Amino acid sequence: MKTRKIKNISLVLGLWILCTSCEKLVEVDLPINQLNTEQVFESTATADGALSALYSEMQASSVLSGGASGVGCLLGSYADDLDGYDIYSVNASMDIYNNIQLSTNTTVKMIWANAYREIYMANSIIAGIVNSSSIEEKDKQRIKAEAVFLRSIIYFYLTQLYGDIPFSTSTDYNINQALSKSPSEIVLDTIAKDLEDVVPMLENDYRNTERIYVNRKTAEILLATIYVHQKKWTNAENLLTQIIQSPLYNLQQDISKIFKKDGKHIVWQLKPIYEGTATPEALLYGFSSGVPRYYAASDNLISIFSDNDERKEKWLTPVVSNQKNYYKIDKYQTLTANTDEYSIVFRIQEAYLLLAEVLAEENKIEESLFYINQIRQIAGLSLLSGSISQNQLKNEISIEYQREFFSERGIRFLNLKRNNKLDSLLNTKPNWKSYNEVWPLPASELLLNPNLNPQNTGY
Amino acid sequence: MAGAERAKSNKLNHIKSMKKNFCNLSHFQLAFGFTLIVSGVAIAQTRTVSGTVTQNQKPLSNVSVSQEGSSDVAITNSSGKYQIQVSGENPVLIFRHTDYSEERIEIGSQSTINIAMGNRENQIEEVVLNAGYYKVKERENTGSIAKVTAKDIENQPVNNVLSAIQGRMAGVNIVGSNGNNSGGFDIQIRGRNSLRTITNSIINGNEPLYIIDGIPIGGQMITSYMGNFEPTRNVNPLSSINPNDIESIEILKDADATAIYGSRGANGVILVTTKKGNSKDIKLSLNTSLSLSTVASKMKMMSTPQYLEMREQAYANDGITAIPDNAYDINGKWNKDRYTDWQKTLIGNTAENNLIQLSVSGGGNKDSFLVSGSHNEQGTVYQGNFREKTNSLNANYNFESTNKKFSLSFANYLASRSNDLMNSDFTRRALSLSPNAPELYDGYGNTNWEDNTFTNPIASLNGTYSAKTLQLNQNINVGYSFLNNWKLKINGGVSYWDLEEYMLSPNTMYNPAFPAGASSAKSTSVRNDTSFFSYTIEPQLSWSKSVNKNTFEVLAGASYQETISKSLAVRGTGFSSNALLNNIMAASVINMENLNETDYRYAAIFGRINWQYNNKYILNLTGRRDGSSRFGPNNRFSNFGALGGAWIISKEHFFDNIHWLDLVKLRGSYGITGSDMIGDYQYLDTYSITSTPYNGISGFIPSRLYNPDFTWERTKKAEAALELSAFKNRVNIVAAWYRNRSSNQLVGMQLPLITGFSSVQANWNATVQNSGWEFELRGTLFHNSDWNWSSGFNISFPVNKLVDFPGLDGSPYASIYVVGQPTTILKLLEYEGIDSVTGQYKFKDANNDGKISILEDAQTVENIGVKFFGGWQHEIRYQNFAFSFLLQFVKQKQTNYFRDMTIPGGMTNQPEAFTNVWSADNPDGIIMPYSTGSDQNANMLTTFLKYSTAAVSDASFIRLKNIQLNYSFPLQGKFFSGAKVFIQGQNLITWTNYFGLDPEFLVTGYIPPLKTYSFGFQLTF
Repeated sequence: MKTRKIKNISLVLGLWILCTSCEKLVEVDLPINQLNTEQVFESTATADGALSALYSEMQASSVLSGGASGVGCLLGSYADDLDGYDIYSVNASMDIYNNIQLSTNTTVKMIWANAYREIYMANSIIAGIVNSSSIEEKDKQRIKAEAVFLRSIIYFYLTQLYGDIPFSTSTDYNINQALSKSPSEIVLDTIAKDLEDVVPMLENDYRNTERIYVNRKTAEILLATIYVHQKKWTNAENLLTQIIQSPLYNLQQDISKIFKKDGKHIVWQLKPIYEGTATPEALLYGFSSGVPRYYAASDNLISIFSDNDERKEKWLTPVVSNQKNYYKIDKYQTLTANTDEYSIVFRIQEAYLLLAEVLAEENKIEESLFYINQIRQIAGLSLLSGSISQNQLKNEISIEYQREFFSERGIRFLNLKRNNKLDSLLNTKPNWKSYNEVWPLPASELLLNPNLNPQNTGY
Repeated sequence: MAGAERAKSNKLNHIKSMKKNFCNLSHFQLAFGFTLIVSGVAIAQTRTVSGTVTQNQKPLSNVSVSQEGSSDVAITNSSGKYQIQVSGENPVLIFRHTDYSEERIEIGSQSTINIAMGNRENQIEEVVLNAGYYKVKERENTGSIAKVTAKDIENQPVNNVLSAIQGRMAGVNIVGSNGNNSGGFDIQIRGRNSLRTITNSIINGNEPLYIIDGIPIGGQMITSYMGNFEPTRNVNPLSSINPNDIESIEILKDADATAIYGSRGANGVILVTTKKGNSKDIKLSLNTSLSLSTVASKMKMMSTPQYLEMREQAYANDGITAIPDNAYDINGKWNKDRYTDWQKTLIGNTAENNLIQLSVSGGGNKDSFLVSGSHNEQGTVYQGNFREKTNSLNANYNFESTNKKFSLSFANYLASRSNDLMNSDFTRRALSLSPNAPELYDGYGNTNWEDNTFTNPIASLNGTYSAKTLQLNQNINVGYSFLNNWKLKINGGVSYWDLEEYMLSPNTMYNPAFPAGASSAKSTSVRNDTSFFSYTIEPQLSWSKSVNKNTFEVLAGASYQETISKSLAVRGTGFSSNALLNNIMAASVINMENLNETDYRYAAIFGRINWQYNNKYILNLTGRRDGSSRFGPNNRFSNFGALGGAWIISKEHFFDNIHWLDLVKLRGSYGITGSDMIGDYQYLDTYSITSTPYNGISGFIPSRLYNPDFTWERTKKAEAALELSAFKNRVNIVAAWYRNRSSNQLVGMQLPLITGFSSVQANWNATVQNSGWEFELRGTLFHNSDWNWSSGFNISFPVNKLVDFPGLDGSPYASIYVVGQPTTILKLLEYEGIDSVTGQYKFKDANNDGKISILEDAQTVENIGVKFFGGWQHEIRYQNFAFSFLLQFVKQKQTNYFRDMTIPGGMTNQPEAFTNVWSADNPDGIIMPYSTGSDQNANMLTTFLKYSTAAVSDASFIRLKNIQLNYSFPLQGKFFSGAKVFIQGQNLITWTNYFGLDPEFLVTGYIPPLKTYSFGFQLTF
């Protein structure tokens, strides 16, 4: 009996001890590949790490990417620069090329998904850095400014692609999941104000000599672009003049060197993720024989070049297949052991043409010609004469955009859109309809957030 | 056998000494002499044994008495007496009578053996079910446990034992995901409780708990590298275990059986018990088989003329007169006279599978052991030399002390598997490639790119996936009985699982004319190592006592488990030669893609009280308090429990005169279980390290949307069942009704992409109900001394319903679910056929606004799900022949080929059924006039068709799942004690009306199930 009692007591005691120590038994340490959010924003190095992830998103999967998920090829083929050849694309990029995209289009959804993911990352960095107590004020400002810039450029493209869009500055999913659309003019206004606020927080000097991070001038060039879209000519003119006059930038005289990474004409470029890998553009547009795999120059693009235009000679390489000439987009050429090419996002030549456009709008013909002629001269074209009319000049600028910036960041599409000239695409694109000026909102998003209704007209 | 062996060794010694003189004695004479001596020894030991057989104190006639291993039979006369000659040492007598269970007696050196034969009821009592922490006799069981034993699993030509039990258990719906060797499974035990499936979340929230020999498996081995050919993206824990090593599988279904597993029992528990030694003699057995498999289902696709006709019409309909440059199939670039049956070429190979297994078992009075090893080699249905090799070793040892107070058992299972497979699955390409697509190889045997117009699928074969898996399960069980009623038991074990994957993607997978294929500088190679190490300790104390008519059994225990998982992935890009791909050090760019270590800890205490009164009334109470590291600090612990009861009505006095009913039992249970299948660390607010550095600086990205408050899911289960056994156990019926309600569901709540993520972990305040009926019928249809024909039938009617969801209308789920309907519904457009005037698809305008849009008009609810499923098996024995077959049947509605189709008329092959195209002359056509995909209206209507009721149709099927014939040789020699030859077929015939590749595997684009023929033999020494 006694032994049984002792045994009983020790059993109960043992179980009780087990219970109370249970709490500690199920505690675990943080996994080795994660950091608490506060810890990330405790030091500049880790906060820069968060920013670094956003840059690598820009390079690899954002609208700025030079590959298949970027607007360079998508808007290039959507307008009339590029022809699409991907026979395996179903309800995706080929439908965009053919201007018949449906609201269920997978590429339309992918662009939207990537963009809002990047916006979330930027919002998260902004919130984290603002609340940080241990990082120096100077670094806090810079990191916040870079994150705001990246968020703004994504919103800029979102509104150009989709029209009215939900504008989020918070990471709280309870708010975001029911957000309604903001009109595109308000979005442009808001991001312009954001940029005006952060421009002084950025330095002019690049923090990396290869210009792979943004500086004040990058933010200014985006701000100027927005002003042009908003038709605020004076603001745009002042800003662009300032940018062009900066000692940081020179026009590159040698066409064949424009897309190499060392050049004082580069405002911002994106470095490939892994050392030595080719730029996404080189991989996307490359083909050495046979028919193109994804994209090649359209007949319309070839037709606007005169034979002595150096850009046609250096940037468009003919490849013959079956007695037919296909023109390869050859701006980026290095395919292996790449140490000399990065994907350029902004280059100073764009500021020249933007300024020319603004001055033309202001009817300052002479001044406008000063800038556009510099671009023409480098390309080996004859200069435009001072007797040109305002309309003719605006047309010439429009074509010059196409010649200089084909396949880059949808610049031609943006130029047509802000000048209400998109319907000129009816000449070259048989399926073009006027409601194609914006893409449809992804159908699945409308199902999940009914506040996004109504869908864009026509879809 | 000792005498014979002594004789043998004497003979050998004699031979040795005689060798010098008789070394030219021929072998034949030697063997003859050898046999004579051996049989002489045997004959020398023949003697007579006699006795009386009784039953219920009355003599029993017609009992056949035989010695094991011999074919001599004696029959008892009317006085129950018999007499028989036995030979050899340790003879064993077998007594058989049709009405009573067989008795097997080792007679030692006795000459008189009298026995009393028992009645059949003993037999049902003797079936003991493994309920996990305790064993319970089937008769006294208060819970719902389904069991399949080795007899039904053995020798089936399947890789995972889950394929062998499909259709055999009521309430358990097992659906494979693809026909590959290591294919995954989706197991639903009484429906899906959780909304988290592998398609909408990383972790499959419906995964049941797997326990192998008492040790729970640590987690889900998930890998993103297998995604190309394994839609479930995880390796099933049972895939390395040789089905022939399994003694039984018990699946615990209801609350009474699963509540003792507390927070992990919500989706059911699968208990696997490997074979143990139990014979007193040394037994050696050899088992080998060869199987041949091909793809069981094929889709009838268009022939080249039909296809070209479709394409030409498509261009004509779209008004395109100049055939585009990239329409290679009809612009003359590709030869229009070619035809290839791509299903046959790409996935039509016959896979060969070889298995050999050797096992040794034996024991004495106190202990027994079993060691068995197997080697299995499997081919694939793809072209090329892809194969999979599995080696396994099952070793266990059981010891019990003479006074039966102390017991010890070790069970060890080691399996090693190596896979060499391709990088991706060909099924989708086999169905979509144009029938006149070019040859795969050019005249010189090289990959034919047809001047860069053809993305040749053969080139993908250059990309390989190889995986080596090592799985080790070790379990130790120590028991000590003291003070008569008490028993202390400690169950502990270790489980280690290691997966090493190599994914080699050489540039030769792509066309050399494009940058990706240009040189080996573009080749990449990934190596991923994932491992789980898990250990479990479970001390238990049990006490039992009988007082008057009451019997009590009390169990209390604790459980602690820790699982450490590690993963490491490295990618190398750019090699100077493709021969170096296996060594990532040779790459020019090396990048760490993943490095992680996670920890999971789990602790619990549990108990059980079982009270039986007068063998008639049984009450079973179980409970458990669990803590898991997967939940946030405020919500770590929770309580679960169940109450089950049974009433054996046939023991009541009003049943005394009903002799044809052996057992009538009513049982029921109610309880609460939970689930913690949510992945680790989901409650943290963290950033994770990315593998894509920018300018060499590694990045951090937000890991997830932060929600620290989620708690356990709770599933309340109720069940009531009736078990009947009649006609001396010739007929057994079980009818069960169950209702499970899951609330506070942990779901990746679907979110719009504006939030930056597609979901967040949160508890969903909705209630999902799974209820239904299960029926099982087993019976012996015919039985005499030569023939035995028994049959089993099971059928389950599962019903799923979303019972309640406050706030559904304002949530992201408003367009997906409807309260009162199952959670498996689809909301679709109502398809109204093809308009007889315009020739276009017609859909119902549900909101009468004059236009069709998926958003507004998809109001028709179609339930995609299983209405009932089950199996019907027969087993016929005639003397030494045994024949059995299993028919599996499923009645269901599922999405069909229309759901994933591409527009007929584009450059993709289509089913032959689509040649039935609408035209003014053919108003019964099922497809709108062809279009190439460049007409927006046609594209839009085709999309509508895919999201309409046309895309859902009947997918019911009946499948001859398994058929086997085996023959046991009646051997009597001392060398072989048994030999069996068998032929089996798996998935041989399928009857279905389904429009699609296969009605069982629903994720399209993967290999359908395989049809297998196998034969082999088994020898026992």
